[in-house]
Amino acid sequence: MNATITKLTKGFLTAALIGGLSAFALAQEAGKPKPMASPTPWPASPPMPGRGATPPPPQRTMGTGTYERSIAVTPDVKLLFPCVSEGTMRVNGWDRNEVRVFIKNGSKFNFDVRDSRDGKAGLLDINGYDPKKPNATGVCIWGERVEVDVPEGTTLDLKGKIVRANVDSIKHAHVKVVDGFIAVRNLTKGAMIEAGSGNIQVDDSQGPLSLHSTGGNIIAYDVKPAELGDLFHAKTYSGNITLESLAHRQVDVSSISGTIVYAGEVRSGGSYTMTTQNGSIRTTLSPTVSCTLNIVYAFGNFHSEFQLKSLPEEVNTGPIKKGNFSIGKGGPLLKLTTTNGNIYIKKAPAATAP
Amino acid sequence: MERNCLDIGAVQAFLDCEVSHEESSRISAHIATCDACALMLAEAEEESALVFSALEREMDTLVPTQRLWNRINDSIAVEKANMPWWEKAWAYLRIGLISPSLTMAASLLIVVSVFVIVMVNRAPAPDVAYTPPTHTAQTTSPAPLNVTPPSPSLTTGSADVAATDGLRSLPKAQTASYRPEPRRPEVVQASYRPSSEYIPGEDSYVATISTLQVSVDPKKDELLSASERVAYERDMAVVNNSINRLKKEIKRNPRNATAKQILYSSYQNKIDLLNSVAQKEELIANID
Repeated sequence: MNATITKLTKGFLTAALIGGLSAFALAQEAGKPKPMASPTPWPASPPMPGRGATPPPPQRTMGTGTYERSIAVTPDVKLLFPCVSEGTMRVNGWDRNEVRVFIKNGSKFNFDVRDSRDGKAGLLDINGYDPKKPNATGVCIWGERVEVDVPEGTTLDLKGKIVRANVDSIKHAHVKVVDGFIAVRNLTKGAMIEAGSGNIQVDDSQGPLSLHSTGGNIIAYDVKPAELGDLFHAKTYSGNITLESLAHRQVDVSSISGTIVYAGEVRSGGSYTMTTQNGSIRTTLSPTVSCTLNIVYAFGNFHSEFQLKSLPEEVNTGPIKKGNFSIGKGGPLLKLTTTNGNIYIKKAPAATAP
Repeated sequence: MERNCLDIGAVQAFLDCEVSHEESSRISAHIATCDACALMLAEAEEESALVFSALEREMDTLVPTQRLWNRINDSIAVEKANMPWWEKAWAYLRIGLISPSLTMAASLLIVVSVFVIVMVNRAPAPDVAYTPPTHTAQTTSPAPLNVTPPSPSLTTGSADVAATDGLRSLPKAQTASYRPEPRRPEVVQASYRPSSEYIPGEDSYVATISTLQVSVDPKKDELLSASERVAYERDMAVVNNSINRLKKEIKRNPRNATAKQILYSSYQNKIDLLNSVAQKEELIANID
């Protein structure tokens, strides 16, 4: 009897021990954070029009996940994203000498330090990483959301396919995307942006600006040169160009079928060239502006609210008109050319005159 | 002639736009009322036009360097594509034969190859006694997959031949000598033909556009999305329409320098549009 009781007691104690250990293990497991690389379905991409226009699909063979890494860098780090295949990207300047990358529902990535100073990265490549092909190069990054925090002195070089990018508070941005919307603001040393069929927006920035879109619109406001002679260049084929409060003195703007809208000052010593093939040119200038106006229009009309001092030089007869005028005391050159559109020069309302 | 008539220097300066706005207005006003000065202006204008038309071709040769390079490169590419294969082979050989060591190696290789071919093709003389042939021609010499159907001249080593040759004959392995006709790649030529109806300088734009169209047109369906394609065609139509209208205007008034300037600008827009397709292809290729 005693032996039976002893066996039962031992069995009970063993079972209790095993049960307790299991419960403890389960409790520990439940307390742990969830693994970051849990596979989650990738949200369906928006349907792309056209049969061949869609860029090659992103490399998703490596699975999806949420990843975050950071690295110490120099204050003037040059950051390269050689390939971002798809996603919404936000690059934000902060006051720490550190680059932090967070990708939600996207690819793994690697930091490739190509140059360093004092143990900190000075030239940093951020590439996609496929664990199945650890030695593969040129793997693209993609993600539902890609957030990058960088030092404010960063120079960014980004190439992408279908990317919606917001860049804020860095030194300089060089962005090239096949399709997508690019917005930059608070840049201190200008930007060079090429967007295939997306729109481009620049505001509160200074330095040379070169904006080029094939089919998108270009909007720039509150921008100024960082140094004397900084150029503002904007070109689009099918889109409109809207410029407001532009302080650059060298302005070159052109479109083929879009309209150009300019509202702002014409600064002394400046040269402003605006050309469109089929659109109109609408300028709104300060009532006290002084400039030399050179206009060429072929099959459209010309309207001005200003008192023009010289008569047009009607050297050519027929529909092609070319004229040189002086507004106010003359000075900086404002050259407006359209083939099929109209040219309007309006006075800004006194209350909102720049 | 009135007392304050213009001299020829002032008229020439007026034509060359070297006078101030005020002076220009004064001269215009005077010419409007003075027949003698108007006549002098017309004569001077005619002389200028004559001189400029003689020099215009020279002036218009200053095409942008990049386009010139593009045209040169395109011409080289077309030239290479048209070159027959034996000329390409000879070019490779010629480069190789410049080096004596390479020449020696090539000679040695040829000699060895000839020796091997001769040795392989020699009919073996079996030392064994005659045994009736058990293989058919098809099993000993299978025809290559890419040759023409077997003809009587290609069948080799048949049992009949072996029987008539006597005891020492065995089926021979022979190589079919079929040589397919070389397929020459189709070279699409640009449809540009120099024409006398072009104004000076226009033909270089037209030639560049023709060359670009040949390379861009087959790709645009593949590279551009539907909306991009619509925008592209609309822009192209706009530019073409402008070009046609400007050409009509220039035909009506050949001295209209402004119309010529806008025409050239329109041509440049067309080139830029065509280039935009190529640039997109380049961007996609860069990222990939």
